[in-house]
Amino acid sequence: MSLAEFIDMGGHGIYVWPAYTITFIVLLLNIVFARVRMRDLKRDLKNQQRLMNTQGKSTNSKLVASNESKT
Amino acid sequence: MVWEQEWLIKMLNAIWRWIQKFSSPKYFYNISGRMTPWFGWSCLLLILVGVYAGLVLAPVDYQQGNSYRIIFIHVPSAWMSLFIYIVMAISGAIGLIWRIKLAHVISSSSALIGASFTFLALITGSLWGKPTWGTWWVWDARLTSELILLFLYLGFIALRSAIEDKSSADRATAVLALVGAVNIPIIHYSVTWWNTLHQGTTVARLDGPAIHSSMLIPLLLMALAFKLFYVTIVLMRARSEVLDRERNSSWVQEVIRSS
Repeated sequence: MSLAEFIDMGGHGIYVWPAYTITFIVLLLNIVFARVRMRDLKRDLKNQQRLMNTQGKSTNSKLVASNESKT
Repeated sequence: MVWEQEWLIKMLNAIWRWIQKFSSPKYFYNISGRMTPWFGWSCLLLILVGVYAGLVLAPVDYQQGNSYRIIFIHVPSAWMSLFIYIVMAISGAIGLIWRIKLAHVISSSSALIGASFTFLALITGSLWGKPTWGTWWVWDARLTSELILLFLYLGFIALRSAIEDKSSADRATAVLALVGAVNIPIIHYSVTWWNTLHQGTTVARLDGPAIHSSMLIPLLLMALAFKLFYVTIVLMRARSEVLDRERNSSWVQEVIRSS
């Protein structure tokens, strides 16, 4: 069987390939959304923490500096 | 007799302690972080093997030609659409009855991936229906009840985002998930109860699967792969949700500080 025949699938390739493509796009999007949610949340919490540190006593400024150097 | 009772009580205590330990947010966050890569990579491996077996190794169907190859993603998607809804309803009930927050976290983290699989079951079914039945869509019992399932998922997501207070949203969506659960047996038995254009049950039959092993094996591989995919995604999402809900606790502050 040639590659062209395999892709054509006796005329059914136009249904089979889109079905598989859409499926894997939707699955990939789920991974992307889950990762983006975690990344955004961590960034948000990090900013919140930094804000609390700077609002706190000035003795905390060292901690803030060390946090910033890490990121 | 007394000895047996004591043993039973000890065992129930052990189980209860394990549930409490596992549902403690910090423990859950740590252990799920270690488990996720294992689920994710084994899922990828199974998908690669399953797709190869389904598209290349499995023979052509004598009636439907190659279009039947959609079965390897269509049926696992449809199974997952039901399975995830059942998980949502049960964990919603656990959250309502025993007030375990992690149960609500699991429930809400399942909604989007559940909706995705429902959408995929419908769209791949449509792509399979065109060459097989000559139509993209019919309003038969199986297709209509599956479409209702998609609306239930979307309703769940909409209701969640409409209620600001987390614990009110938890309760409202748990009730919605439980009420909507009546649709699950309707979907499952629709092909038996009504005369549908959709074909009848192939795999889960009392007299054994009506499908050759060369087609059954890739189908089961893909079904397992999709189940692992769900577990991976739900753990990833639940971890974010736990961090969000526990954002003011000292262990989350520690996690953020060291990240």
